[in-house]
Amino acid sequence: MATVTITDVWKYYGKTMAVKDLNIDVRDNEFLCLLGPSGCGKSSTLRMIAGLEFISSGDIYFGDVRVNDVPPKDRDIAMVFENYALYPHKTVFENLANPLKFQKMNRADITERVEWAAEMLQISELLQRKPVELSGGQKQRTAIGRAIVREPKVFLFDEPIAHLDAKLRSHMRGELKHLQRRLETTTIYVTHDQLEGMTMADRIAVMHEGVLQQLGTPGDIYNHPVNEFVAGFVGEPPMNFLDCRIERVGDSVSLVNDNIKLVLGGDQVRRLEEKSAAGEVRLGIRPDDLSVEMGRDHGFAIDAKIFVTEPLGGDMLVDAELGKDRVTVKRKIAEMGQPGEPCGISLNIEKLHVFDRESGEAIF
Amino acid sequence: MAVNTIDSEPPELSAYRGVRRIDHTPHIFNNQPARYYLMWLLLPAILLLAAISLYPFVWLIYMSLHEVQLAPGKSDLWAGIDNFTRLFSDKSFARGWVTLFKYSALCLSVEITLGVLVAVILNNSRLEKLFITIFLMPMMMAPVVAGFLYMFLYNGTFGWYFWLLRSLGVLDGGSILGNKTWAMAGVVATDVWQWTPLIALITLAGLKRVPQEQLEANMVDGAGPLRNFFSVALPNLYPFLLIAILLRFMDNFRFIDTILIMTGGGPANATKILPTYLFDVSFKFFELGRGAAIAFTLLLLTILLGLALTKIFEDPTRKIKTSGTE
Repeated sequence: MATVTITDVWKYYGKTMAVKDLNIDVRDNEFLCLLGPSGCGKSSTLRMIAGLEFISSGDIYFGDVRVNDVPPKDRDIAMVFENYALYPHKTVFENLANPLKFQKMNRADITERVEWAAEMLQISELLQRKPVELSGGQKQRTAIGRAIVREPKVFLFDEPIAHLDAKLRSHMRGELKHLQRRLETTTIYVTHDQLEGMTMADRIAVMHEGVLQQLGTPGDIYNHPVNEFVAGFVGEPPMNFLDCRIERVGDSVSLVNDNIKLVLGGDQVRRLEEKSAAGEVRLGIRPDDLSVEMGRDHGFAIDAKIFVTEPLGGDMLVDAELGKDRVTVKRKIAEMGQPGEPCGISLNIEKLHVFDRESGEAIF
Repeated sequence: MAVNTIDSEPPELSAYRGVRRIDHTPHIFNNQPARYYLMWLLLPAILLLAAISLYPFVWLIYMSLHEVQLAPGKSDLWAGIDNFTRLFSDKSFARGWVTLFKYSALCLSVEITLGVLVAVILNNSRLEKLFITIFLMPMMMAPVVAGFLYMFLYNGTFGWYFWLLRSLGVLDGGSILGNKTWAMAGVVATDVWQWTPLIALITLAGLKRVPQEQLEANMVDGAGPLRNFFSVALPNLYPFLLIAILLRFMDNFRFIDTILIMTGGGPANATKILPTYLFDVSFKFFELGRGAAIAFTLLLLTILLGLALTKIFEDPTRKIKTSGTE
């Protein structure tokens, strides 16, 4: 039960800057996800919270206590590592019992706690095995078990399910979320997989090149990305981006390039004005907010050519060429169409995102 | 279905019905072309090895079963197992073993303790490379030279160590190598000086392979540095320590250079380990048959002890090796 407050934290490795001026408030019992591509500083941040890395400058608080100089063993945290970090010479039972032994708990209590955790993770039958005798998923459960046997202030997860196969990963996403809700413990979860962040977290902190880009609920991040990076990083398949310019004819304001002309609504025009945006911008639209119709007589506003179609079972992706640009459209499965054939595209103008071409900042 | 859950999980995923399986392996996978040419490539090495190690071994057995005659023209006399049975009543033989075990145990325990300590101190320090280079020097020295060096250092007239020990009041009188207790300590110290660096080097290599994540996980679990070393680093070092111990104990069982130079087995047989006794029997008394019998027992016990050691360390070794790779 604790809040974690990260204030003005910087991290250097020699002269390389890994984390820049980071400020995050993790609320009590919150599931916070640090999301970003590799090298974005998310793991460094987690390791500083764990006490495994020194903080170059700034402070980290657990509740009201500044923990900068507290060694990991006294921070009352539990951490799950990317490669599980099980002790190979110990059985599953001994692995789980390890943190309890350091707490000088008596034998009976240890056994009880370990059996409780093992039951929760469905590894009771494995307690006498050594880590080599476990499958990837079982190792991962053991690593989680070692974290939950005690009641730590904070759970730290460092890409715990990155090495599992896709099916098991999606299964574990549900289990982890369920576990966190049940144990009601503040959790910080590092991942590069936006899907894990979107599905599990209460809030997501998107990081890039050591800088916090956006901190918000999954809905916020998905629907109102603050810049082009966040917009492109979150969502699968990723958002489409098209270079456009703003054109004003009388009262109507539109986004124009060689292939498209989109007349903006009143709200959107107001926001363009607020940010005094003019000239070149970048338009962003998610594959779900585009529609596509095959054939010449599509009745849609924009003419395009099929580049490739990818069936996904129930849905399909259509990559279409708009002049030099290419966009991905997601729709219910229908006739496939061949590369080079004509098609028509329309956009849901309500769902448009517009970014400053220079800075990448979102205008709306 | 419930039985399945242990090995393939999560349970729900393995519970699909109607999975198609093919229960026989097509024959093409069994018909690997035989690679006979590999044998020809290996043959020269096998022959060379046979010539330099198998041939002497056969001779050793031959000699141990004969009364070997040195005078030209005389043929060896068949002795059966006489050479071996006589060893049972040979007090020097038994004492040789006891001294050898004492010597080897002393050397090993001091070398392992010191070597691991040095490796831990050196690991990740800035001067690591420099110190490794310095430490390697004694190891590069021929054991005979090390023997001479220490003999001079212990010398009662001009030896530094002798002077040092006398000045500190540790040594009352007499000489180091002339005193029964001190002589053993003296030869052990020489071995320790020369071979601790090897242990340190092997341990250092092992320390680099201790998974960082395990150490960190243990720290998060609540371990301080000392506990972390004993509960995570040390078990991960077992395979490396096994190599070090094997190497050193086998060396102890066959190297006689330093002892021969320093004490020749004396005073009063205090440092007469079995190999030195073997040297005396074979090359001072020229009883080559009996010498061969002693050598054979030495070889046999070295092999048995080697196997026993591997067995002791085997379990953790296997498990650490395979689990580290994933």
